[in-house]
This record gives sequence, C-alpha cells and structure tokens, in this order.
Amino acid sequence: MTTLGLVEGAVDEHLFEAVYRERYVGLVRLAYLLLSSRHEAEEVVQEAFAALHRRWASVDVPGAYVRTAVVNGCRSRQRRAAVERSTLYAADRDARGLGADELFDAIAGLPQRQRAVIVLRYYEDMSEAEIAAALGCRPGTVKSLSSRALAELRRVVEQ
Amino acid sequence: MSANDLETRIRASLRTRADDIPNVVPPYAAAGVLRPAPPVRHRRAWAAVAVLAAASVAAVLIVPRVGDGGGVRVVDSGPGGGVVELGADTGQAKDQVVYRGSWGSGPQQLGNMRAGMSDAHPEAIAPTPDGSQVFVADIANGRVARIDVKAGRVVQTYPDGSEGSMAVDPASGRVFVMRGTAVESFDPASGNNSFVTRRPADGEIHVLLSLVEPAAMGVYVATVGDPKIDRVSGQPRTLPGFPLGGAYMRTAVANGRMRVEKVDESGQVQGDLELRSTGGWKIGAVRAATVYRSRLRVYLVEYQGTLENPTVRSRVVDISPDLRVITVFTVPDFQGDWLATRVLVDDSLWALDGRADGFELHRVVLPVR
Repeated sequence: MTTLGLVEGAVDEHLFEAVYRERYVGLVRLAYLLLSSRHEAEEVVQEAFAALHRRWASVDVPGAYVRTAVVNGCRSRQRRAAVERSTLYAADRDARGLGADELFDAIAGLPQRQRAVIVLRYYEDMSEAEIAAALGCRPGTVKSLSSRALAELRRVVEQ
Repeated sequence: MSANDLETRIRASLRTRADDIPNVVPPYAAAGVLRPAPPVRHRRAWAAVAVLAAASVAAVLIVPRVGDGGGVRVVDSGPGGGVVELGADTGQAKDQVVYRGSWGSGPQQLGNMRAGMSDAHPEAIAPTPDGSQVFVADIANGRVARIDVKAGRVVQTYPDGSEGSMAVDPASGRVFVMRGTAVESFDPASGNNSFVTRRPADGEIHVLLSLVEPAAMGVYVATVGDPKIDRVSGQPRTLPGFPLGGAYMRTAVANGRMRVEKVDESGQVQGDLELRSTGGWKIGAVRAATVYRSRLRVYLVEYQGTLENPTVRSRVVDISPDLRVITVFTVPDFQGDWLATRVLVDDSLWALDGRADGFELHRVVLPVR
C-alpha cells in the first residue's frame, strides 16, 4: 500500500487511514481559518499527516498530535509569508469583497498568535490549557492573548 | 454588547467561513488507498523589466538536506560569516527531538531535548560567534534550547521563545528573539530563564531581518514598512538606515515602487533613487537586505494579482553608495510548494522552500560585478 509517498514503517495503515478520514476535512477548515487560503490549508494538513505517519510509533494521541502539527504549520507559514501577505492583503480584500464579513476580516487581521487563540477557542472549542499546549505557551499567555484579541474584535464590532 | 454576544458572533463568523470548505472525502483516501499528494505548484512567472536594467542570472546550488525525516527547517547567518542550517527529527524516546545542524565541516547532531508530546518545529537558530553554542527556537514546544555544540546536547531551555528569528549579541552574549510585534532578549549567562527586555513595536509589524554588524558589535533589526534600523543590543538606538559609504541607505516601498534614499545621521536626505517595475508588475516588499562589499543588496518581491491567486517573482538588486543600480539578479523559481526563508549572507542568497516531501535549501551565488 502506498502511504503518502513516505517511508514504510510500523504503521497500522487501517488506523492511520481512519484518523485521516475522520480528521481531514475538519483540519482543513481549521487551517483555512488560520491562513485564509484553501490550497495552503490543504498543504499544511497534508504535511501534518505526513509527519504523523513518520512519527506514528512515538505518538500517543494521533488526533491531538496532528491538530497541533496543523496549528504549528499554519503559524510557521503565517510568519514566513507575513511580508508578502501584508503587501497583497489590501488588493485581495478588494478583489474578494471581504467587507461582507467584517468580523472575520478583523479576526484575519489579528496578530497570528491572537488569531490562533480565537480560532482554537471559538471554532475548536478548546480550553485555555489545551490551547496553551498546542501553542507551546503558558495558560496565562493564552488568557492575555485572548483578552487583547477580544478587545480588538469588540472595537471592530461596536464601530 | 455583552461578552456572550460577542463570543456568539465570533463563533458564527468562524463557522460560516469554515463552510467555505465543503465536506468532501479526503482526496488521498479515496477507494481505501492513500496516495501521494499531488504537487501543488505556485509557479512564478518571469519577465524582463526595463526600469530595473539588465538582469543577471545567478548560479544556483542545491545544498544537501540535513536530517533524516524533517529536512532543513531553518537557515540563518552562521559563525564566521557563513550559513547555518538546521533540521529536526524525533529521537529514541517518545518525547524526544533531535536537532541536526550543518555549517563548515558538514552535518552534525547538535543536541536533543525532552520536548514533550509535540513534534519538533524549529523556527529559528542563532549560533554564538565562536560557534561553540547555538540557540534553537521551536514553536512546537515553545522553548528556546541552548545547545553545547561540542557536547552535542541541550544544556538549558528558556520558556516562551517560540517564534521569530534570533541573534546572539557578540558583545554581551545576550540572545535576542524577534517576534512579530516585539523584540525580547534574555541572558544565558545569568541562568535566568525569563525574558527581560521587551520592546513592543507600534502597530502590526513584522521583523524583516536581524544582523550582527561586526564593527559595531550589535544586533540590529528592521521591520516591514519602516526604513529605519533599530539597534536592540547594548545601548538601543535607531539608525536612519544601513550604514554604507559614510552615510546611511534606506528603502521604502509604496504604490508598487521602491524608493532608496541616502541619508545622514539625522535622517536628512542627501539623494534618492526610485525603482519601478513594468509590465503590470509592482514592487511589493523588501524581503531581505544587507550590506556587502560596499553596496546595498536588496531582495525584492514583485507581484501581480491577488492573495488567493498571486503571481510573485523575486530579484536581488545591488545599489552603490552613490545611488546607482549596479546589478539586477534574476532569482530562479525554486518551485517549492511554499515560500520559507530567504536570507542574504555575503555573496549568496540562501533560499529555503517547503515541499510536499520536506524542505529544500538553495544557494544562489550573487557575484560582485
């Protein structure tokens, strides 16, 4: 069986495929909310599953692992592509008419860690502790990021 | 508006937007067979640009990958003016990651650490000037690892060092971590794990580069949309641009054009040069810049189209202290699936691209003409 074009290892292919089928669409949606780009979201999720496949033997909770990998992959891309995005965002916004959902525009415009906290909290329904684990920071940092993000979103909504 | 109302609206907005992705069968799991991912190529078109003068095609070298599984993740300035690259793999234990780096004599294991449940995802590396230690920032476990290169092991970790590029100040030994909106530093010598300096930036900015300028022994950062350079180590101060030829050179991009100015210590403009692209292209951003052999070397991103369907190309422009365009290098399309790191070090552009099966590192030699 071909396995994502990667090295064959001690992977329970049926279980791996089950995780893949169960989580794929949800993770693409999560990545899409973090990146605003469907093809990039699909790539990040594919990379995360590829990493899961490589490390299958050392992963206890595949679903949690792959979700964290997706979040980190999105953060990495966001940071590295920040320059291009900041340049192109205005033109893209005009072209797509994002003003139709000003609240999502505001979420997309948050600094990346604040955006991640908002998406994980209100789309994935994760607790502060879970978000802290996913983002590699303290729960207090999550609380602080969330507070700042909500203040900004409130400002946009009430304008 | 109550907090509950705001949260309800946020949830609704996110779910509405998430519905842009239809509930389809995962494409690679059809018929019970997992298939290799079809490559997604965001090809970049190339065309001649009149205003930026004749272009030189630079030599491209593909550098061997580091690491068994993860490949090269990070490339940055290395000790002695070279380049350091870094990969990461899982270790023997479930919660262990192994960092592998390369500079000078070739790949070596830099160290391993107990990373917890998460995968390794190094985002930045900063070696000390003598190369005896390196610092690795990893967003997966949220820490900066201090690695003794000779011993090949992690000797200390620092919390909340998860993002951005890094640099070690050769004078003080302090480590500076550049984040999206702030620069933070910590002192490895004190054994204190907490960050002690925070220099919040105004607004939403991104750190463009960090560099260690040997003569002035400091760490400098520049940000997108801001022509100034901030010295963040020692006595922090703001320079009006890159020091070059007894003055300072600075760049600013606006309305699809780049303006290069030569200014004095006070920021007074002594001369300027405007660069434009033609054929529908616009100069979008300065992705990296450095001073090399008495010239300002700028890595430019040009674009057409939108974020969803962009066409992007990149070139490097050498500018003399008297504001002449010396050379325009056409940088080849690396055909990576996504853009990763670009750094200018000495005579080369180092380009790290993400691919479906890992990362690929290119060295583009930009000879002095």
